[in-house]
Amino acid sequence: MRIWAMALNTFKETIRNRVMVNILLFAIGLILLSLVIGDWSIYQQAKVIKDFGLSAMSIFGLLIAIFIGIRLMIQELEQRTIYVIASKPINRWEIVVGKYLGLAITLAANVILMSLALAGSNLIIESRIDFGLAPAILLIYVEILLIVGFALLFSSLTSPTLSAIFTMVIFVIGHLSGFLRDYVQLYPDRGFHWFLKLIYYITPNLENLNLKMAVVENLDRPPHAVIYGLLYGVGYIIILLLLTTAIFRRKDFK
Amino acid sequence: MSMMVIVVNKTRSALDRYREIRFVDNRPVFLPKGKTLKWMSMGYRGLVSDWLWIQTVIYYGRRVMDEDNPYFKYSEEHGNLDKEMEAVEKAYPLEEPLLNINEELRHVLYQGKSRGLVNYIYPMLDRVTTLDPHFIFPYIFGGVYLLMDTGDIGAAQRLLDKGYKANPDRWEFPFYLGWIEWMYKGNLQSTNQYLLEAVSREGCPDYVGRLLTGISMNLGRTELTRAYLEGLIGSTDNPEIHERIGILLEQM
Repeated sequence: MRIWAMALNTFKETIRNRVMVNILLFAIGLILLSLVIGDWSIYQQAKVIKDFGLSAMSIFGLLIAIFIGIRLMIQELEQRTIYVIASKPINRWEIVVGKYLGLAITLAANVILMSLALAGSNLIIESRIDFGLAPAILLIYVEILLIVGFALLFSSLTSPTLSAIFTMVIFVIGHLSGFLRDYVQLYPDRGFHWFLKLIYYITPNLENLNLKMAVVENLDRPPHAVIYGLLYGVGYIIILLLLTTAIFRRKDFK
Repeated sequence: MSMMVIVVNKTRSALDRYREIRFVDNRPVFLPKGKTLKWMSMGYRGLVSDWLWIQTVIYYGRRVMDEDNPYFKYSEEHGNLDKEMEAVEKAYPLEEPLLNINEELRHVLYQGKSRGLVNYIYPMLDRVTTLDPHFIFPYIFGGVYLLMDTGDIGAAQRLLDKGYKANPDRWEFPFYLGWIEWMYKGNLQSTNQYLLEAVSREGCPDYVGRLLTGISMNLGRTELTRAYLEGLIGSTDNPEIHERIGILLEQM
């Protein structure tokens, strides 16, 4: 109940954020603009619209996750509202989880709005809505939530600027970690491969949550790709929240 | 204020002019290779390949269709260029001492024969298809439509072969590879083999089967083709392929 109150409060707070509203409007505008861009692609309009729509959802979702996720805790500390919250009968982990859930609801609303824009574009071009895109959208949402988890973790450790940089680095490594694994397999005798392996196992492999190309082109997917992707993402998020809570518990608000 | 408006306008025109020249120039593709682009684009390979594809289409449109074609522009200003073009064709590849024409005209003639397309568009299409190997249309565009402009059979076949390897279930690739063998190389035996491969794939239209029957008869290889198709009908459980091959065997 206390978590829910915290989440609701965070949701109300974040939807009033102008940066988020601007990014969201820009993303929706870009998705609709893909109708024009797709027109230049010779018979490939539907593919271009879907690619643009899903990528815009992912990129702008990521931007919102970083900008809002990092400010989430730091704002409470800067405005000293955390003292008021901490003085109430609420556990520290409930604050972290409540805040996270609140932002998760905001991001869900964003993803739904962007999906509606994409569905609208799809309807105009193909005269139907492609529900086959849903698994990719679901995993994009999980990816955004994972990035929020990192943003929250870093923001409880360091300054906003560094948190943003670290979160971006995680995003980049997360999409390249498959190449690290391939490199280690190709050259197993290289001296530093233990280091690459370590990075591979610590950072999330965000390509596990990337079904964009597979759904757009109706390609064969690994069996249970969505279920495994969901479990992978949720498992990672729980670990991140546990770490954030552990750090947050040690903070002294007196 | 008016001064600044003039400055902005002038610089914009200058930059636009520069862009136009660059656009029609016979420049190589200053982009990393497809494999590098693959990891550089991270989780957005589809988006990047779409973007490069659109760039390719725009380049093609401007170079071939529009008045940006330097050959078209030059001939409008200086009259018919047929004689010079003939000389260029004989002297290809363009060597310094071979042609007694100015550098601008030499460049224009080189571009005018669509060779610029080969230098720019095929490397671009290679990148597009490396990023997204299942993006079918760029293969067909490069392998069929562009071939008609450039006449570069090797580049077209390489692209279609690449598509065939990445999409072995698609009928389009063996069909168009067979079409090139027929139309550009006059090799009907090879066409026959490719068409056999095409009809054994799902979604292959009926006219391919009719073409196969005609070519097999022409080559006197009806029995061989029949034997191949009979083997195929026994090894497939796909009802669509089964039905198509049944009709073909009846026709034969």
